[in-house]
Parts: sequence; C-alpha cells; structure tokens
Amino acid sequence: MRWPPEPLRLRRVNPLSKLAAALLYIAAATLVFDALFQLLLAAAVAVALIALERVGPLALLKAMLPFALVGFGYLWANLLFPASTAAYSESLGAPALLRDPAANAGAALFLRALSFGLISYAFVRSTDPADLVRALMQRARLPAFIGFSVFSALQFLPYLRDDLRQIRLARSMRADRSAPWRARLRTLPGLAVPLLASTVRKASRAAISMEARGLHHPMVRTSLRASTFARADAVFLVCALLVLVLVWLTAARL
Amino acid sequence: MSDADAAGTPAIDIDGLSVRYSFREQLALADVSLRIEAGERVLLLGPSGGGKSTLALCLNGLVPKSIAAAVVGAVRVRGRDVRDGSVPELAGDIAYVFQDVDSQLCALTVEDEIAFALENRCVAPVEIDRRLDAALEQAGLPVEFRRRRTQTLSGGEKQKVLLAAALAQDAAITVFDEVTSQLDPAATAATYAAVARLAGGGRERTLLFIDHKLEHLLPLIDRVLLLDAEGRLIAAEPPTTLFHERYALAAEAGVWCPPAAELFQALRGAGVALAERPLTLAEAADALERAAGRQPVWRTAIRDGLRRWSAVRRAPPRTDEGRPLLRLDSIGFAPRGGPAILADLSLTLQGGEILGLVGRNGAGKSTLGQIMSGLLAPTRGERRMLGDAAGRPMRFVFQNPEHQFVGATVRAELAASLPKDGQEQVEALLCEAGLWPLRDAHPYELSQGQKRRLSVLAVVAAGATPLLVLDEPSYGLDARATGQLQALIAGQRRADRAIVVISHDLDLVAALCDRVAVLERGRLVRCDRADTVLGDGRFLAAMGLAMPAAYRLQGWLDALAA
Repeated sequence: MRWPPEPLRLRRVNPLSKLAAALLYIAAATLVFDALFQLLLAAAVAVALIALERVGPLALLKAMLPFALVGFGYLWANLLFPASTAAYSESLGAPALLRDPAANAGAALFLRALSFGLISYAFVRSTDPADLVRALMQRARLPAFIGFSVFSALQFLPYLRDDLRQIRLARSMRADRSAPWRARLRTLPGLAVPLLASTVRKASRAAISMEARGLHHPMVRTSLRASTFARADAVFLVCALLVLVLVWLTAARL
Repeated sequence: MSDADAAGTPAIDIDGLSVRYSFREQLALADVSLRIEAGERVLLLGPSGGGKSTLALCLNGLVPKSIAAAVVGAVRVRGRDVRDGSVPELAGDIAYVFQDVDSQLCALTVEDEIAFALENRCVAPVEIDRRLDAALEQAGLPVEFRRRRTQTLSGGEKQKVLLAAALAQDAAITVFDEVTSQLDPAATAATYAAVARLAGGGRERTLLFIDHKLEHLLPLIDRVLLLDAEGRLIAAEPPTTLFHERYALAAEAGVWCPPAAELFQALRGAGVALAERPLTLAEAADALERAAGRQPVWRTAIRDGLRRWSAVRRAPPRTDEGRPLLRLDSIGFAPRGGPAILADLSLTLQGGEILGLVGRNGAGKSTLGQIMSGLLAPTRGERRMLGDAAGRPMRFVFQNPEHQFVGATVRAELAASLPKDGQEQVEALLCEAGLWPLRDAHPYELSQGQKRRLSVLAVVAAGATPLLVLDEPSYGLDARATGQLQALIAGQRRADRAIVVISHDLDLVAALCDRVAVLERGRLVRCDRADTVLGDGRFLAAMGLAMPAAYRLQGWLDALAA
C-alpha cells in the first residue's frame, strides 16, 4: 500500500452515486428550514470539496458568489418584511440560530441558497458530463439517441454563440442607422430566422451522421467503457448518509 | 473479402435511380444507372446541387427512409437491395465521412467518437479497443489522442478522428463526401495523406469520393462518374479519358477540372500535339520536358502556351498607385476575457487595389476583415479612414450569406439594400447577376453560388463604399459559380475603392489580387505584390498554404525560357 494513501477523489465515484447523494442533500436542504442545519450542511460540503477535490477556499468563495447574491436577496427581503416569514419560521418550531425570528428565517434562506450552490458545484466539478450521460445510458435506461443528442448539443453550443455573433454583426451592417430605435428594435426577432436555419441544418447533419453509423431506437449496444459501481461508491454513499444524519442531529441538539 | 465480393457481385449496383425531394419540382437525380465493382476507387463529380450527396445517401437508404423523397429505381449494395434493409443494418456495409466536421462529432472524447459505430453494432469492448488503436494509426493520429476531448482538436485533427471512426468500422464501402472542404491547405494535405495511406493498403475496400480538390485525389482514382446540373449521369470514365479526351464535356458541366488537363487542353488548342495525359502539374512538367526534348520546335509553342495559360490565372499587374483609403496602425484585438486574436498589425489599403488576405484556419483573417470594415473596433492601436473615405460606410460580405439576408424574396433582399430613390435598379442588377428568373424565390432556396452572388450584390447596392471585404467568397462553389463570382468581384474594382478577399483558395487570390497579406497566429508576416508572395513556394509551405496552379510551373517555365 502506498503512503500517504491517495485521497478519495469524488471524481472516481460513479456519477449516479454522486447524483443520488446530491439529490438527497438537496431534498434535505429543501425540507429542513433551519439556519443551523443549513450552515452545517454547507460547511460539510465545503470541507468535502476542499479536502477531497482540493478546491482552494478562495476559488470556492468565488464560485459561490452568485448563490450568495441570491441568498442575500432573500435575507434582505426578510429583514424588510419581517412579519410574514418570521411567523412561518416560528410555526415550524425550528431552533433559532439568531434571536430575531425574521433574521433567523432570512439566514436560513440565505444559507439554503448557499447549500444548493455548494451541492451543485460539488457535483458538477467532480463529474465528467460524458461519464454522467454514459452512466445514465448504461444504468438508468436513458435511450442512446437522447444521450448522444445531449453530446451533440454540447458540441453545438460554441458554434451557436459564434453564429449569433456573426448574424448580429451582419444585421448591424445592413441596419438603417437613421431609423428610429423602435424600428430597429422590431428587426431583432429577425435574428432568429438565420440562427434557426443554421441550427436546424447542423442538427440534421448530426442526425444523418449518427444514423449512418447505426444509431436507432430502440437498440441494444455495447460500451467500450462500462459504467461500474465499486467499493468506493458504497464508501461514498455511506459517508454521505452519515454526514447528513450527523448534521441533522447536531442541528437538532443545539 | 466476403463471399459476395469473391463471386464478382458489384459493391454498388444502381438501376434507373431517380430522386425528387419533397416540395421540390426538379429531380435531384434523374434515371442514374451505374455499377461500381468491389475494390474500385471512384470519384463522383458534378456541379453544386447536382445530386452527388443525394446519391451517396441513397446507398444506405437514408434517402428516402430518413430524408423524405420520392425514389424510383433500385439500389443494391453488395447484392442486397437497399429497400430490404434498415439504415442501421446497412451501416455495417458502408462507412461515411461527411464534409461538416463539427456536425458529425457526437461524442466528447476521441475514443468514444471512434467507438460509437462499433458500439451500435454490439461489437465486443475488447475488439473495439483493438480496432481503436489500429484506426488511429491508419488515420495518422497518435494513440495518446484516445482520451483527448474532441472540442480541443483543430479542424484537421477532427477530420482525422472522423476518418479513424470510418476506418474502425471496417466496412466494405467507404464514402468520403467533400471531407476537406472546411480545412485549410495544410490540414487538407494531411487528410489526403491519410486517405492515400488507406488507398495504398490494398483493394479490400471500395472507396467512393465526392470532392472538388482534384490534384491530391486523382492519382488514387480508377474512374470518375460525372453528373450534370440536372442530376443525370453523363460520363463514367477513367480520369485521364474524361479530363483529356472528353474535356469539353467536363468543362461544360461546370465542374472543376485538374489544372494539368486545362493546361494540356490549351496547348493542344495552340497546335502542340501532345500525346501525354497528365493529371497533376508535376506529371505535366515531366510530360512537357519530354515533349520539348522530343520535338525541339515545340519549345517556343509550349513556352508561349504556358505563359498564356498562366497569365489568365493571374491578376494583371497594376501600374498606378492608388490613394490611401484606410490605415491600420499597430492594431491588436482580443475579445473580452479571451486570448489575443490579432497583435501589432499595421497595414494601409489603397484605392483601386484588390488585396488577398490568406493564412491558416484561426490565423485571425476574418477578425481583421471585420476590423477593416468597421464591424469590430480594435482593442489596441488605431484604425483610420483617410481622405474621401472618411465617414463613408465600409462593407463586409459574410462567409455564410444567409447571415446577412433580410428579405423574404430575392427581389426584396436587393430592394432592402437600395435607397428609396434607387428601386428601379433592382431589375437591372438582378439581370446582370443572372438572378432575375429567381426574383420571387426566398434567398434561402438559392444554390450556394446564387446565394453568394446575391449577398455581394446586396452589399454593393447599398451605396458607393470605399472598402468591400469578402470572407471566403468561393467556399463550396463549383467551377462555373466561382467563375461568375470572380467576374462579379473584379467588376467592383474602382479607383476610389479597395477590395479585400479573405480566402483559402489561392487560385482565386492569384486570379483577382494585386497584393497578398499573409497572417500567422494573429500577426502579419508578409504583405507584398501577389506574384512575389504567391511565387515563393518555400514561404507558402511554411505558412501551411498551397501554391496556386498559375505559379507552380513558373520555375520550369523560367528554365525553358533560359
């Protein structure tokens, strides 16, 4: 055995195990309206990201900025309109992290947004989209034509953006700059026509290419890389469950 | 080789095939009958819209099973009637490599892309693994590419991956449908080298090519099938027979002919009775050398004929210096948050000149053209319009003409460009461009050549412009459409206007441009007279560019003259 042992990297875990854990955590974060629970859950996920995925704390803070902004909106709204949410918070009988019920409800919402962000970030960061779609096709009966359509769509995105940029430039060149801005605004939907034509053409070519290589529905196919479950998946799922129970018990006791 | 092949069953047998697409009046293919033997290498040639790709898609039943069309006649592949099998069943017999590289990629990694067809056929993973390495090697890619993301590959590398994917299928028939049309000359040469390795490997596979770039391909080809604009098969001959003995037929069909055949046709017309039938310019040089040695009296006729042939493929030298119209002073361009596309680039455009802008894919040519025409502003340096050009609108013709169409008909498209008091010019302009009969058609319904002409016309009609920039104007066009467009561009030359042609097609650049600017990784590495740049083979090769035909025999011509 090598020393020091290699850390349990999340990306070695089957994407479906991670998806199950992520859905479980999101369900818990949705159902438990308690600031302390949300705080502990967010902290647990953040520690897992830093320890197992080696994400730098600063990088993590940067990634969480959009979620923090959304959460701050909830917090601010609660502080401005305290009556309705404080009553709801008290009716749940959840333990108060903060003395003021309105601030407590706002903090719970703020931290819930952060928990959602951290759970999603942990999943996306540690999962290769190709591995996820492959696992869904092999283990969750996702039809192959949908799986490969998703791959194609992922390939298209940069070209779609480039096409849109070119079309906007072309239209700006041909636009009557003396026309009033309302008249120019009315020409905007016209951008959709060439974009749609170009996208439909690309999609048709992709479909022809896939069908010419034998893709059809329904079908049975082999896989070069089998999506397997190993001991790491069992360890991961048990650990994820234990952490969740531990977080819940700690929040309930305090 | 299968039993069917051994018994002499043709690889492809087509009998009286006619195809009409839904909502189209004209037939895409008209009563085509042909037979391709197992192991044969065949080139399918025809004008744009002549039904070449349709024929290829009929071979596995995609037309009409997936692409709606009325089909009459029979198609048999390796003895089996295509109507009797499904498209996936036939996928084991025919592998395709199509022209649009990015639309074909359906997996995120190279190995998944190559394995895709094999997984669909339930090939065992161990066997897929074995074939993967072999296919990568055959396509000229290192085994380390297996785990590479397809999106990180260059256009040439992506095309090689698709080639490897076709090879891994180990199908009896492989169809290559304009596989290099989106690639720059260096990537084109690399792809053809891989195809040549495949063709040189034996006669196990039947190869069907649809292509315009003939120089690399013709040495591999046994027979050329020629379709006309109406989708009729008008010739099925070995390349030497078609391009030398039946040259007029190929030229009349509007398809590209090899420059060597055009040259020999011109020399024969000038009275030099050459028996040789070269297909490449290298073969032509050898043949001319032998002919000049055999008949010394022909030397003068060969030299004069070669000069004339070469002269019509080069822009006539400019004698006057035009007034400066636009100056770019140490400009750079980097999109927000992205790497620099252009750096420290200075250039002045003069009135009356046509400048060719050339370089590899991704060198920054289109970005520079858009900065010249004012569509983009440089992020560094200064762009200045000079003299009368100041304040007047510059024009840019996009690579994809559909991006700039705003009208619902051809007539409306042109009318939208003209000023209100100039609407009476619509008819005259459309007649001049040969588009009047199509005046009520939607611009999207036109052929590639017609779309391109309409886009140029609409941009030019918008008013006198001191600068016209055309981005890849000849992309996807056949010989006739390119000739028409070339005449249209040349007709736009004015003393107070500069024209910039961005192109990979150096033959077009040679025929139109007075000056050529070469871009490499966002920097201007050379800008000089066209004959100086295009005649410098070593420099062009270093830039990944192919010397135009008009300059390829210059050295030989100089030696002959000496």
